[in-house]
Amino acid sequence: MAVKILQLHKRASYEFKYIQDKYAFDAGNLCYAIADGTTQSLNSDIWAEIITKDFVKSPEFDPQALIRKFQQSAQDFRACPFTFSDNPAKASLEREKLKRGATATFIGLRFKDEQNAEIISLGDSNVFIVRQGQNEYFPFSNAADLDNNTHFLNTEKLLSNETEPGFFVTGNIKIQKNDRIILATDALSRLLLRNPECVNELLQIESFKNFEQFCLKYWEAKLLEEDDISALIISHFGSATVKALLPPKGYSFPREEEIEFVPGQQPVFEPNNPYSDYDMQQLLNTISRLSDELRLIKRKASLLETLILLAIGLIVINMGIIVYFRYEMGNLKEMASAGTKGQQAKTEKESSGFDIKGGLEKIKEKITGKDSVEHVKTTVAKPEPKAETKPAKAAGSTPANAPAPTAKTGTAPESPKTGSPVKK
Amino acid sequence: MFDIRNLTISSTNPCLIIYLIDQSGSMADRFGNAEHSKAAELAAAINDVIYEVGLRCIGNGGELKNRFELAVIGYGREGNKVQSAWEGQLYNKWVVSIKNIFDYPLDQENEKPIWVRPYAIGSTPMTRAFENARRLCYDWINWGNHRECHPPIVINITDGEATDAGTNFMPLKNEADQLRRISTNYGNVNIMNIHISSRSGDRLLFPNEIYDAGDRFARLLFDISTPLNENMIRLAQQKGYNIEDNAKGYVFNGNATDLINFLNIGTPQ
Repeated sequence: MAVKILQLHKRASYEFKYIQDKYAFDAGNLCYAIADGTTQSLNSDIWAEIITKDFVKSPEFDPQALIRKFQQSAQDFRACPFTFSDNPAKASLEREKLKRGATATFIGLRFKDEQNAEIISLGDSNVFIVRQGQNEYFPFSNAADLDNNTHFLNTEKLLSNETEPGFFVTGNIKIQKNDRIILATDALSRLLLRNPECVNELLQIESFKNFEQFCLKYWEAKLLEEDDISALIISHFGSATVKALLPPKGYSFPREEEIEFVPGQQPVFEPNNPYSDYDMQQLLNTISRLSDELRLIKRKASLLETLILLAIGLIVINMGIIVYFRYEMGNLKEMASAGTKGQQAKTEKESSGFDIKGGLEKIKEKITGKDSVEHVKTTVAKPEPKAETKPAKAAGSTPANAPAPTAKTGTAPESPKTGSPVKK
Repeated sequence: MFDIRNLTISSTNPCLIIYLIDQSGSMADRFGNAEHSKAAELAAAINDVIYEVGLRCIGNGGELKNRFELAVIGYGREGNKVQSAWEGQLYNKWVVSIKNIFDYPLDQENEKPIWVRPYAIGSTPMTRAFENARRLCYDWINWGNHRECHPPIVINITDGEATDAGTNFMPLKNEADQLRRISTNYGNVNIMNIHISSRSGDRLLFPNEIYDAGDRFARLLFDISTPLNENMIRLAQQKGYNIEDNAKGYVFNGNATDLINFLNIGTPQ
């Protein structure tokens, strides 16, 4: 049989030596095996290698017999040396991992003759029989069933007899002349089950470069899982060609620098900030509300201020008027008490120039704004009594030639605090 | 969105898991019928799950691969504060790669490393814890190639009512809502809640609906939990849980085993 082997390690493994998928075949026995060591178990690549090699040496298709065979393989695996880490925490993990054993999937196939093959499988690897017209699958015909697989070949479970024959799936397949048979590990199996058109594309690959491009294309398209990718393609009875499309020596994927993630790239990150976003929003709302209220208060205060100034202005004017009148009324009273002392009053009047009527006219004039001089002329009527200490010579007499009060007499006294007119 | 079934969590495409752990005073109560407190149970479960994650990250040749990055956020330990629950060398770190986690354990117990100790003090500022989870998720997704990664998983473990969510829980609901809207190219952030109640019985695991109208906080935690994804449902079923499609990542009064299993289910394979 012609065999084509395609393998590429996952990018996270960097180098091909870390691939955990293993295969083996015996061209003489027409026997082929593939196993996928699970990433999460220690030395699973060694375990995968042991079982594939042991199988092709003396294949078993009876599950019970194969379990017994693999139990011996598990003992061999246990005997492999292991060096524990210096880091106690890590060493603890390694001890636990070793206790849990190594795990792998497994498919073994042997051609009984040109038309018949027998298969035994455990795990989520799969077989594709590619035939013109219609393809066949074993054991899974769709990706959902493959995903639901829960059985794997684990060293410790084998040794503690927890691996049951029922976990294996066995079968016989009829082979036609131009059939090509693909044994694939899980990631590639999923791709081929979900995208059957990829099967022919895979079969066309004749170089590692093409295979690499195939994997990269589907990895980038997120249609192929980032995992080790392995396939054994078997065809052509009578041929003994073996073609291994494996990464060349020195081939590796670039190592990605592992930079520790540090939160708080955004300035908002402040884990111990006692105020949450919600609190801050509440505070902002409160501040905004206070600001609005403050603006309103300012407007009201401004209006109030104007009113107060107006009121104060009015009060000052009123007080001025009151003071003026009090002063004048005081003068009137004094003059009234002087009553009959006419001549003296006349003299006093002349000297003081006070005239109550004139005063009133003056006030009126101030209020109405009329010409003061005109009013002064008309306000000279009768002499007014003047509160004076000297007695009047002729009470009630008014001299005809008494001088008219000057404009000065109509104005407010210059020294109201004296309370008495100035003698001439 | 890409098909999450084609995504393998790896050191080039890691997954962020955030554990929000209630460290409030009520966690000092006994855990079910056990002799130890809920806080002790919770700390042991967190330590176990970190160890489990480590087991999933140890490579074929014994090297630790940074497939997961973990945050453990405690709330209530210091008044109303939310803080990183890492101690020792990892003190004040928020997100730590699994490699660094195993380089700096706090101590060893029974030949196994531990990272978190039990605390039961103070109030329950759960809304703030979710706010921090949101910020972390946002920062993490927008960093490097993390948009090409599995969406972060937030697992909240609590026994009580949030003290910073008001009477109608709207702030907490809003936070959870904002958190689950954050997404990578493979889907939205997953939120899971495990509710440790002092009530006995009433065990409820990954329900599609809850009908107990008597416990409004159970209702709240159920409502803010996201449905389990296909992978998680498969894992839960493999572990023997009878759950259906659209089951939510909510556990009420689960026992210690459920707690571990729940945390494992929350951890994608």
